[in-house]
Parts: sequence; C-alpha cells; structure tokens
Amino acid sequence: MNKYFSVICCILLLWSCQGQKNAQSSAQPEKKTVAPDDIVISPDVGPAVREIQIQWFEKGKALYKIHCGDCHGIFAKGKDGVPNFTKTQIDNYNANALVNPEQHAAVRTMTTEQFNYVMTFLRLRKIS
Amino acid sequence: MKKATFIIFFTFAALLVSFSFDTGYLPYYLQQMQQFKAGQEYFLLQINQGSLNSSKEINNLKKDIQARRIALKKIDFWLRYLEPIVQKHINGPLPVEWETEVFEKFEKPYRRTGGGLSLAEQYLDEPSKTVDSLQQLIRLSVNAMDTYLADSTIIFLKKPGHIYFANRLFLLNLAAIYTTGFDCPDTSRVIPELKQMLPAIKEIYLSYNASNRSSPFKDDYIRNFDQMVSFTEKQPDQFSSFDRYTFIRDFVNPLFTLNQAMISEYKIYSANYNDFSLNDKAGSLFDKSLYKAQTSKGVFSFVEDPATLNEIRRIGKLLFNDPILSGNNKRSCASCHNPATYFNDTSASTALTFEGNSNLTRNAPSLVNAEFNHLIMLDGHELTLQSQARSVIINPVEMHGVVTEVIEKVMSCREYADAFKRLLPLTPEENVVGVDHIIAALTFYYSSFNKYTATFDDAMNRKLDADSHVRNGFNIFMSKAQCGTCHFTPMFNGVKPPYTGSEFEVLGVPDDTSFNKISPDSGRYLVNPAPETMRAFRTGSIRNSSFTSPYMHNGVFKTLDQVIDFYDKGGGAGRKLTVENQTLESAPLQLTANEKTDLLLFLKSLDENITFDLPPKSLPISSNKSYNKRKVGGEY
Repeated sequence: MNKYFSVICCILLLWSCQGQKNAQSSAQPEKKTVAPDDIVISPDVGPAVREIQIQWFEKGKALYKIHCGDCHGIFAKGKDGVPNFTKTQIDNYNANALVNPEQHAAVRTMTTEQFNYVMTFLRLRKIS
Repeated sequence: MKKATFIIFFTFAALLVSFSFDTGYLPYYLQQMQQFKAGQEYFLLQINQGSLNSSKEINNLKKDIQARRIALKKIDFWLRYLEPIVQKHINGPLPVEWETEVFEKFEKPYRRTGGGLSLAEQYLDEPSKTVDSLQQLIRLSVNAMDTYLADSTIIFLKKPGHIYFANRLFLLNLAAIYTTGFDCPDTSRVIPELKQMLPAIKEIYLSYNASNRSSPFKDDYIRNFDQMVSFTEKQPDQFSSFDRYTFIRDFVNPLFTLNQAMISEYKIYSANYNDFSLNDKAGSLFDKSLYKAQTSKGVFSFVEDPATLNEIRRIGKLLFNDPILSGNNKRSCASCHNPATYFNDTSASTALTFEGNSNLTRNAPSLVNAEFNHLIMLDGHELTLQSQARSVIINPVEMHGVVTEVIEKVMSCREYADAFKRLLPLTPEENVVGVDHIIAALTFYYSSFNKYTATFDDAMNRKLDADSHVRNGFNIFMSKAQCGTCHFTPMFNGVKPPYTGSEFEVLGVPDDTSFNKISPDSGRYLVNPAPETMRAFRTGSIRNSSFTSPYMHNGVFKTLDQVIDFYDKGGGAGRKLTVENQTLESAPLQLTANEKTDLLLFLKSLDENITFDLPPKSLPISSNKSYNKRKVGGEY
C-alpha cells in the first residue's frame, strides 16, 4: 500500500513539475540558450551562471580558434609536442608559460576578459 | 667492473674539483648568499645573548643593523628580482601589506607580512620592546634565505638571460627605491649605503662575464657604470644634497637604454612574473611605453590598423560627449571629465549625484594617464578601465543607465549603428554589438591623450635642460619632502618597480580645511576590509597637477600650496587628527619657503603639453525623436 502511495506521489510530483516547466517555457519561449554539444556544464550550476558560461564558452571558442588553434590544434585536440589541454593540464596550468612573449604574443594582446573567455572554453569543453 | 667504478669515481672527483675552483657567476652567488645568511644567524645569536635594557646596548644593536644593511645591499640585486615577496622578510617596508598584483587581480588581495632589518631598526625606537619580538623579525630574514639557496632558484640562475632582467629591475630601483629612502628609514644612511652598493654590483657583472662569454655585459655598459660609481663617490653623503637629477638623467637612464639594447641583441626573453608588465622595447625610463597596466582598446584589443583605430577613436569621442549613455539623457562622461581640461572637473570638489540633490563622496579624477594604473578608482574597486566605465554608466547615483537600454539607444542612432556594424567583424567572438564595444570606444578615445610628455620627461631624455629650480625641486621631491617614496619616478603615480601593482596610502585627509575631523570615507577598506586598509586610497598621478584641482579623494584642497602644506605638517596625524594607521610620517617635514617654491616648479615641469580636441558640433541623430533634444556633453 505504502509502495503504491509513494509511486503515485512521484508521478504527481513529476506531473506538476512538467506543468511548471511548460508554463515557464510558454512565458519566455526563446530566452533559454541552447548549450552547444561540446560543452560540459555541471548540473549543480544554476540557470543564470549557466547562461554566462555558455556565452563565455562560445566567445572563448572563437578566440581560441583564431589565436591559439594554429599551434595548439583546432578545438584543443592537440598537436605533437604542444600542450593539448587535457583536464590535468588545465588544472595545473603553468602561468609562467603564458608570460613568454615569444610564443604567446596573443595572450599579451588580449584583455583579461578575453583571456577569461578562452580559459572558460578550455575548462568546460567536452574532452573525448 | 673495477675499471668502470674507477672511471665513475674519477669523473665525480674531477667535477667536484672543477666546481670548487670555479670563480664564475653561480659560485659567486652561492658564496654571497651563504655569507649573508651566516651573518644574519650570527646577528640573531647576538640579540639572543644581549638585552634591551640600556641605550648603549640599543645603540650597539643599531650599529650591527647598519653593518647588516650594507651586506644586504650587496645582494639586494638578486633578492628583489628572484623572490620579491620573500625579500619583504629580509627588508620589508611595513609589517603588513595587502597586495593585488597583476596576476592576482581577480583574487582577493594577499596579505604579505614584512620582517628584517628596516623593521627591526624601527622596532628599537619603540617605547616597549622585547628581545623575542626583535628576534622574530630577524629570524624571518634567516629563514627567508633558504628560498634563495633552494634548487629551484639555482636552476633559474643557470639561464643566462635572467641577469639582464634582474639588472633592469635594479636600474629602475636606483631611480625609485635606493635613492629615496623607501627601503631605509634612517635617511642619513641612504647615500652612504648607495656608495657601498654600486661597486658590489660591478662585482656581480664581472663574475657573470667570467662565466658567460657569449652574452656578456658590454664594455660601454661597464664603462658607463664605472662613471656612475665615480660620480656617486664624489657626491655628498647628506640625503638631500645628492644630485638625483644628474644621477638618473646622465647615468641610470643611459644604463637602462644600454641594458634594453643588450636584451634585444641577445634575443632573450623572460618568463618571470616580475617582468610581465615591462616592455623590452622601451628605450628610456621616461618613455610612456615602459610598462603596461591596462588595455585601452578593450574588446578591440587585436585591432592594429591605424585607419580603423581612428574610426574607433572618432566614435569614442562622440560617445564620450553623448548623454545618451545616461538614464535621463542629460549626463555624459564629459559632464565630470571635461575633455577640454585634462578630463576632470575643476569646478567642484565632488560632482552632484544623478538626482542632483546631494554630492558624490569623491572627486572626479583626470582620465589622462589612467591607463598606467593597475587598479582603477581611488579605492581600487575596478580592475580594468572597461569595468570602470561600465560601473559609472550603470551606477544609480552617477549616470543611472541600464545596459540593455544603453545599447538600444546607441544603436537607434544611425551613425553609431553603421560604425559598430562595420567594426563588429573585428571582434569575431562577439555576435552582436554590445556594451563592450561602446565602452572600448570610450576608453580608447580618452587614452589617446596619454601619448604626450612633460618638459621634465624631455629633460630626462636629454632633449633639453631643466633649470636649476626644477632640478632642486626634483631633489627635494625625492629626498626631504619624501614624495618619491609613493609617487615613484618615472610615472609618479604610485606604481613602483616592477610595475605590477598599485600602492595605497593612509594620509589622514580632513573633511574640510579647518582640520576638525577626518574624512569619513573608508577608502580601500570598502573593497578589502583590514586594519591596514582603513581610509587608504590609491596613490594618484601628479602629472598635470596644475590643471587637476581640486585635490585629494574628496577634493578638499583647492590649491597645490595647500596640498604641500598638508604634507609638510605631517598629514592628518600631524594636525592632531586621530589616524591610527597613517602611512605618512606625522613629523613635520620642515620645508623652507624656497624649497616649497622649487617643489612647485618641479610639479609644473610634470605638466604635459597636451593638445585637446574640440567637442563635436553635433551628436548622431536617433530614429527615436525624443532622444534628439539631447545636448553635446549633456546638461550637467
């Protein structure tokens, strides 16, 4: 009996959630940004931050493609002898390398915001 | 088998012998560091065995400290470059400092503790003192020496190029630190220490040349350095009589130029954080491209084409004068930063609020040379010029704009819309014209007035000669008046070598000129609450000071005479206000009338000869007719 009751409760709950979701989406139909399929956003991230992360990710991806991809490989797939930004490399990235003006002129030209976009792209992209 | 062991043993022994007989750079470094560490340890032992009961004992300790300081100056060349944070334990200027350096801008400010010789010397003058606390200050310096003897440091020293970057920092410090008393509270010792320091630096050069024949210090550099040493030796020991004008102009700056030339010629580059802001191509200390603190181009950072930059500047100028950026279409950037007069507001101590019924708490500063600050706003609240512009536009008491509305209103004007649509492909990461484009045009526009130099810069670059009053004024500025310990040469805006952070100071600025109470503004405390940051403000630029009245964060002083007088009397604490944490000395400077006149003449020589733009005749026409009533520069 108890078991049935809880199952019904669950169904009702899901139903009500569904209803809310529908109500929300009908109120603001285009507001929700569709996440690109190469981004991994933690489910714990709230909707506002999620929106920002997607925006920054897209900007970072564009910047990366132009200013970093030639050496590091398009979309961070990597090349021989050049860091390809695996998760470990990103977590322990050595800022010293970025200071080197011979190899990283683009980093010095970028604004801090633009650099932040690139780092967001590298951190959140899906690594296969 | 036996043979192999023998060979290994032999090679090992040979290596050992060659190492111990090598007189090159690295052994010299190690010897100097170990010698200093042993000296500090011995000093610690002496403190431990002595007491602080009689003035004789205290005087003996002070003499010991003076001797230790000389030893320190011989290796400070390395200490400051290799590990600037650790160096604060060996000769820190303050017990606690809060730092937000260029790489840590986005993090909470770091608390840095100080220790070592200067603080120990000052501690000996405290009314109540204990051997324990004194020992603690010196023990910090002993422990700190381990960093300089660590493997990681030694490995770094094996890279031949590093010495030119360390040397560059040393030369910059000669102009900003070693001649101003910044690192030496007993000002009578500053010049004698300098005289002992310089020959020791030559020893470093020679030891380097002995072991690095492919990239040595060139003969003309060494010759110029010798001339500097003999010039310094002939100068009087007295703190305020040392001729800093000639010292920097004829010796330090030419050496800097030669050092930069060696950096280019040997094709070396640095991966050290301390060199991050510095420009390897700047040929003079008094070249405004010496260091980079901000990116005035903002979102257009990668645009290089002069014609396109001119277009961005043109749009920036229109926007700067356009009240469309404010909530009521009546205020523009130009309302408080008048482009005709050094981009500031000389008419009021502090501007009116948006509603117009009260005043803001702080004076609108000049935007000229704002690009050379790492932190923006008087409390360092903003990290970039762009975030500063955005915060003023959306601040309800300033321009009270709403970002989405601002974009909509700007884009309703055809001239803006067309221009930004043409510029949009230059920012491929942005899909639509946003507030970042608008802001980047603004910051690029006003930063284009930073390229001008002052007569003092021209004199230092040996294009002309400064008259004797200006030279004397500069000397007073750097010595007796103690201005140079915060307004560091060559930018004079509170950014000191290696130019990676902005300085904050507590002066005890009064609320009004009657000196009845201190200004209630908490300053840096609002951003970074700590006992040391209460009422601290970012040190501003003194360039163009003749044109940037009123002065101080609240615009309390109307004339430069008042400002000089305020410092002369020891700031707020010198005028009997209660300022617990004042960083300015509260004892009067006792400047004479002639000294004050020369000081003023020196300040005038830092006025830049800027050609300002005339405001635009009209503003772009909007498709929304209600916006077309707006006036150039706004109504405020």
